[in-house]
Formats: sequence, structure tokens, C-alpha cells
Amino acid sequence: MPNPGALDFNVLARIDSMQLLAKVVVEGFVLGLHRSPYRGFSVEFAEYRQYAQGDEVKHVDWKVYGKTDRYYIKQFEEETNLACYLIVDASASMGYRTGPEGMTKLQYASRIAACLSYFMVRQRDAAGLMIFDTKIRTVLPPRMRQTHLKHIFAALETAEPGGETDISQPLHQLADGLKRKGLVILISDLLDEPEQVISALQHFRFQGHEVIVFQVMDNGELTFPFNTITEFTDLETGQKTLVSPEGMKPVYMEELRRFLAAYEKGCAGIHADYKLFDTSNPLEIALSEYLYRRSRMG
Amino acid sequence: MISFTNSSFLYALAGAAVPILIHLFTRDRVKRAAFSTLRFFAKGAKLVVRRKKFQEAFLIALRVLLVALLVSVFARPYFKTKNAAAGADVVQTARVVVTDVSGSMRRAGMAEALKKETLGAFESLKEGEDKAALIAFDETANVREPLGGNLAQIKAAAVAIAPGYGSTDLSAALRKANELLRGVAAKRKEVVLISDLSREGWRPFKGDWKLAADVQLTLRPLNPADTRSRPAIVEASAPGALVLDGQPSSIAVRVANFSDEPCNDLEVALELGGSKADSQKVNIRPHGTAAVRFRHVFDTPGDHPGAVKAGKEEAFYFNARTLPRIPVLIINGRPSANPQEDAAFFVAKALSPGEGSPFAPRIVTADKVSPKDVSAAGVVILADAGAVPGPVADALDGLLQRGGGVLFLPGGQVKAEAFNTAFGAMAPCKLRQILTARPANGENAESLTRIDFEHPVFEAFSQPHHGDLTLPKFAKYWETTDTQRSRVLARFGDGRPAILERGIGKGVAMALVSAVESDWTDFATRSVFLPTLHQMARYLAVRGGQRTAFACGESLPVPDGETLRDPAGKTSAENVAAQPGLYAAIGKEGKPDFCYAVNGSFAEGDPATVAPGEIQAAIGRAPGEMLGGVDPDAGLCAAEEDRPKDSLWWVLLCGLVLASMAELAVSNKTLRH
Repeated sequence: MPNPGALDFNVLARIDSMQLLAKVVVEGFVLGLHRSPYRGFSVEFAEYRQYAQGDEVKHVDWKVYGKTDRYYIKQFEEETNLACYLIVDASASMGYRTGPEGMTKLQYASRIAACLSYFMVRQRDAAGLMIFDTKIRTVLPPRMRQTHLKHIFAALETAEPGGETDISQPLHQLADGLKRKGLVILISDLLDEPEQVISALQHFRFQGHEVIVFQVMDNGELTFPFNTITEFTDLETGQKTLVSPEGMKPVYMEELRRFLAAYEKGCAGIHADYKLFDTSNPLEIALSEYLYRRSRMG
Repeated sequence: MISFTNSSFLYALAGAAVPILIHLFTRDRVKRAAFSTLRFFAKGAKLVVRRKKFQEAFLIALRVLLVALLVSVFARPYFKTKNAAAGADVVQTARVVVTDVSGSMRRAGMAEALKKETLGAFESLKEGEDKAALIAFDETANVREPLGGNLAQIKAAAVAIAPGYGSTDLSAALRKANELLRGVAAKRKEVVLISDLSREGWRPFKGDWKLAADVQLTLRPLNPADTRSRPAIVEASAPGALVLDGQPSSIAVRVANFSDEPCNDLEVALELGGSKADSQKVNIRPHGTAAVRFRHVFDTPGDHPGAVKAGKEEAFYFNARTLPRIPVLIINGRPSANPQEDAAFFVAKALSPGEGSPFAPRIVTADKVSPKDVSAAGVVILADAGAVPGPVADALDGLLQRGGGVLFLPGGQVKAEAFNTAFGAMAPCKLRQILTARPANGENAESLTRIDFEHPVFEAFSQPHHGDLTLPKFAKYWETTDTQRSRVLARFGDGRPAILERGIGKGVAMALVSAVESDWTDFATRSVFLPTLHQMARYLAVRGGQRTAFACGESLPVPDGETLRDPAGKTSAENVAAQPGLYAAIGKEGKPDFCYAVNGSFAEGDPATVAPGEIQAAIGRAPGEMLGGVDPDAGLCAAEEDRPKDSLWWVLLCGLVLASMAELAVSNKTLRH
């Protein structure tokens, strides 16, 4: 279980170093867990250890039990063949935040990606990173090495919001380029046509990848807290429109609800996990989602 | 043409700018903000903004309208009447001169001053341009000249103005003047009050009305040339009608000294028949009063005109009309040698206990009574007499029609059917059966209850120690029916009527439904029997309609064929008492038959005045003052002045209510969006 008390989101929001942030988040998260059932179970035997509450019964060595009348758990050298692809949207809309404080959606997405990659490498999984806006800007193939993490962190730290969002096109390109089956984690605000994005994600599924979609939305986008007539400028297109929030809010909220529901329904349709993130919420939820999916993959 | 009752409120129309200013100072400034996407704003964003701006503009307009309507309602607009609007019939000034001709204006120099002021009040008016009216008032307001343009005629009426003897009612006169000005199309409406402003004359004002808003009140107070106050009679009483009983009667007056100096050795004299009969000297402290009482025995029948004079000018006139001993005919239905069993014995004894009795009773048995006996009587008492010969019954009816009285005392000799047949038309009730009293408090007897002490017969017993009418016990009594047209004066303990009266013609028939016999009641042996019987007989013989005292201005009841002689000895064609004094009705023989005492208002003797400002404040309407709920006479004022014009005010009021509701709805909708 995550331990919210160990991860103060306000503190994390002020940590600029991706590595430090990832370390703080992941170590705190792991400490918050009971004994990890997902750690170190592979094919290479390493040692025995005494059974403890929480261990899965399937890992009990029954032969040793027959001889000693005690429960022992077999531990194996950690080893993985899982390749994780972290796909981060760096379009201009990802640079939005409601107030001067707090993180932009891109910063939040980068921290999720950093934490996940740190955790993956710690889990002996290979973590790769792709950053895109209208096109693919950065591609780091999956690796398990610690040094690879630094490249990922550097790429995430230097990522800046760019042009318009065009999610489907880069995703199709990525799907075509991924040869090895693995776990694809898309971190984006998904401000594109849901049908096209779902179609692109289906491309991943068609190639045998497990897909997790983290939709990152600013709290202001989810609650629309404006109350005076405002001229809004689209961060991506530069288009301007005058809006009376008092009259427009119900329309906006309804449109947003339909938009989010379309993604949720679309992801469920292709058996992809979908999770909506509010940038004002803690990061560890992303780690939980990852672990859940990871455990399903064995 | 629209005009305003309270036009000063129109300045508040500037308040209509307040909603606009509030909007300008608090309106939403357009903010500029970047947003991740505009995809969720749909195409209706501009429409929403336009709608919001329209709603805001509409709301401002509505609020401006609301303020304007509110101001208009307070300003109370109205359509001027056609005549007024046309302007052709609009006069410059409509003035009603209200002149006080009450008794207090008779003081030295006041009459001349009154005439002069009255004429002066019309001086500034111009023939053909202005209108005027003249009201002369005492306790009533008389329009001497209605509102018109013939100023010469009005001035001629003013010359004839002279004070009378009546009391003063200032508010009634001013109210009348206000009524005269109602609906008059004039640029200026004025009421000019010329009076000594007697405080007593202002006392009737109850504060329940005000002058119309467009009527200006001018007060011209008059003061007597001789400001010294003289003693005045403020209260007086004297017997009007007396029975010749040899008892002294009381004539009393209360004399007031309204000055700041004591009034010593004031002679108060009683004059009878034109000569001084008695006098007393009194000392009255400043602003004090003194009561003076004379006792006199009027020992001869007929009118006794007299006066009580205090000083040289103050007089109270009275006429004590003394009636001869009242002939009472007692029709005995059960004569007996034993007084205890004789139905008339106790009645006769009670009516004439001695020589000084005002009654002259005569007993006749029922079988021997004749119509002549009845005609000669003033009161007839039927003591246990159930039936009389037919002509006697007719005579009894004639007695009642003339104003005489009949008292029924039915006992055991009376048969119900016979009684009802003989006296059903004249008795206060019919008889059904004899009842025996139910047992109560250890005895079988009923007492009188629910006695009407306001009745003249019983009011003498209303005070403590003046006789207990509940002491007599009645063992037997008659049950009555058909009492609907009668007044029940007392009941038995079981609630059944005991004493009843019924007016028939000019007379009264009364019944005590129990015989005054020892086996029926102990009433005759009780101390209250004699005074009760006397009161009854006196009441039946002497009643109202024989007034001898009148007030100035009243019509005197001079019999047909006779003429009225006024106090100055002149014969008056009209029977109206114009001045105080002793009037006489002169018969064909040239001798006075009746005398009438006429007095003015005693309240006029009080020289205290009311301040002009008090009257102005009480009935004048301040600028902008609304017609209040305490103003039932609003109709006399602006509101009713031109009834159709109020319709505009009601339209505006309805508009205000509707606009308020619309503002509420729109502002609520605007806030929600």
C-alpha cells in the first residue's frame, strides 16, 4: 500500500533533480509497502529464506518442508526480459498550469516517467523513453543499466512544451518501431481526437504490448475555477476566444466529461489500463498502477 | 395632463443613475489567460457572452426602471381632470372663509371684529378670477354662501354675520371647508378661519382627518376687547318635571372663575317668575369653581320658569313643571274585609301613606269600574283583576294611547284565558299558568334576579344601601308567554320574567306577574315595596316627551294653534330658540300654556384658546406627506379629489411590483449563469 504520509507532494514538487525525486519517491514508496511480493522472483535460484506472512504459498519449497518441517521460500536472482516504454507527451498544451505555483502537466508527466523508470531499473526491468509533440523528439531504447537512467532523467529534465498535439501519428510511428514486446506507458493530456488516439494505442496492443495510459490534467482543467469574463488563448494554436465562465462552465464540464469518458471507454475496449491524473495529486499512484500491471504480467 | 401630489420626490429620479454607476464600477473586466485547449468551449462561447451582456444590460435597464417607478409612486402622479386640464375653468384662488359665530364670540368687541375680519378676508379676491365661500359655524357648520364667483353677494352675507349662542366645533367647520374645496379647479385653494380659537371648540377633533395637500390654511385669531375674564356658569341642573309632593327640589349651578384673580362676593341669585327668590354670595379662587345649590318647594301645579344668575351676564334658565297629584285608579279584583287577603289594600296604602303623597289613589272593584273612572286616572293598577267590562278595556287602551300607564298585578283571581282575551293587546305578556316556586335555600320561594338597574324605575336602587330588591320572596307567580315585544326588567330565580313593560301608544303597560298578597309574596311587607311602587307609578305617569329645557337652536314643541313668545316678549313666527331665555307658548286666550327654558352652551364661558400652530400641525399636511391610514377622510383630500387620477398611481404601483419580480427573476438568472 502506498504511504501518503511519506510522500509530501508539495515537497516533491520543489525537487528539480529527476534522480533525487525518483529516489525519494520510489524509496519512500517501497518502504511503505509490506514485503514486496514482486521482487526477485525469477528463474535463477539464489538462496532460501524463512517464510514470512505475506509470502505467496506458491513460492514455498515443499521439499525442504518435508525434510525440515519448516517453511522456506526460494529466492532467485533477479532477472527480467520486460521492456518498458515510457512515452511522454511534450506538446504545448502540456505546458499548462493554472497558477504560477505548482507543476505544469509536462513537469508532472516527467516526474511520473522519472519515478517509473527509476523503479523499473531497480526492478531489473528495462526502461525506455520517448518524448513527442507533433513528432517524435527523443527516443531512448529500453535498458536496465543505471547509467541509462541518467540519460532518461536528462531527457526528461530538458523536455520543454513544444508544438501542437498530434498523438496518433507519433504513436503509430513508435508502434511500428518497437520490435520487442513489452509494457507501453503513455503519459499525456491526450488533447487529441480520442478515436485516433485509441486507434494508435490499439496498434500497440496489436503488436502484443501491454498498454497503460496516464492522462495528466491540470486541476484547473478539471474544475474550471474561472469566474469572470476571460479571453482564453489556446496554448497550441494561439486561437483566442471570449468566454463567460459563469455561463460556460456547465457546457465545459459536460464536454470534458464526455472527452474523458471517451478515453476511459476506448482504453477499456482495447484492454489498456487508463488512469486520470490531477497534477495536484501525489505521484505514487502511477507507481501503484505500474506494479499492478507488472504483477499481472508475472 | 399629468401632475404630481408630492412633486418634490421627483428629485429622487437622479437615483436612477445609481444602478448604472454601480454597474460601471463593479462590472467584470475581461481577463486574459492561456488555456491548454479551447476544444471544450464549443461554439456557444460567444453566444453565452453575448447573452450575458444582454442580460446585464437588461438588468440595468430594469433597475433604472424600478428606481424611476419607485420615485413616481412616491411622487403620486395623477391625471388632472378635464376641466382643470382645459384651463378655461381654472380660477386663480378658491377661498373658503370660515367664521366663528359661537357664543364665545359675543364677548365685548368680538362681534365687530368678526365682521371686519370676515369682510377683510374677501378683500384680496378679484371678481371673475377668484371664487369664495362663506361658512358660519358654532357646533354645526352652516354654509352661508357656497363656493362661487359672485363676491358682492358673498360680502353681503358676511355683513349679516353675527355671533349666536351655540358651542364651538372648529374641526367640523374646517372639515366642511375642505369638502367645499374638493374637486375645485383652482391654482390656489385657501381656507381662512376667523375665530377666537376656543380650546373647548377644538376638543371634538379626534385627529382622524387632515386638510387636502393643496389646501392652505390661514388662521386669523380674534381676541376680545376686554381681556378680563368674568365668572361663568359651566354646569347646571334643575328639575324639569315634578310631581306635586311638597318636597323641596334642588336647583344647582357650578360657577367657574377663569381669571388669575380671585372672584369674591359674587352674588348668585335664584329668580322665579321674574323676581329674586333666593341668593348666595360665593368666593371663587383663581381658575377655580364653586357649586351653588338652591332648594325650593314648588307647591303649586303648572310651570315655574326661573333663572339662576351669576353676576350680571351669566344666567341659567329653567322651568320646573309641577304636575298635580297623580290620580291612580286601583281596580280591585279580590276585595276582602281582611286586609291580608284584599288585593288592593297594600297597594293603596303604599301609594298614599300620608297626606304628602304625590299620588291620589282610588280603589274601585273590578265589577263596578267604569270607563269614566279610567279616563280620570293617570295610572291604573289592576290588582288581581283578571277581567273588566269591555268599555273599561277600551278606556284602558285609550289611557295608554294618551300617554298614561297601566300596571298589572295578576293573582289567584285571574283566569289566564280571560286575562289574555281582555288584556292581550295591551299587557306586556300573556299568562299561561300559576307556578309554585321550586325549593331553594330551605324555602319554597323565588327572588328577583337580573334586575335592569338602568331602567328609571330601578335606577334608584342601583347604589348600595338604597334598597335590596332581592329580598322579597315569591311563592307563587304566573308563567308568561308572548313576551317578545316587551322589555323584561327583572326575572325570577328560575329565569322566568317577573317584571315586564311594553310601550303602547304614548303610554306604558307594566306587569308584575305576582299578586301583592300575603299567600303569594311577602313583597308588600318589605321596605322596598313602597319606593318600588312609587317609582313605578311615577314612571307610568310622568315620562319623557314633557321636556322643559332646551338648547339654543332647537325647535320648541309649541302646540298647534299656539304662538311662541321669545324672551324679549315678541312673538316669533318660527318655533326655533334663537337665544337663551324663557320662551312661552301662548294659547288662544293670550295666556301662556307652557314655558320653555333655553340655554346656550356653558362651554363657551371658558376663555382658554388653542394655539394656531397646534391646529396647523394637526390638520395641515406637510409637503410630501402621504395620505396615512389614520386618515379615513382621505377622500376629502387629494386622493378622492379626482378619483380617476388615482388609476395612474395604481398602474405605476402594479408596474413597480411587476418590475420588482422581473428584476428578481433576471438577476437570479444572471447570477446563475
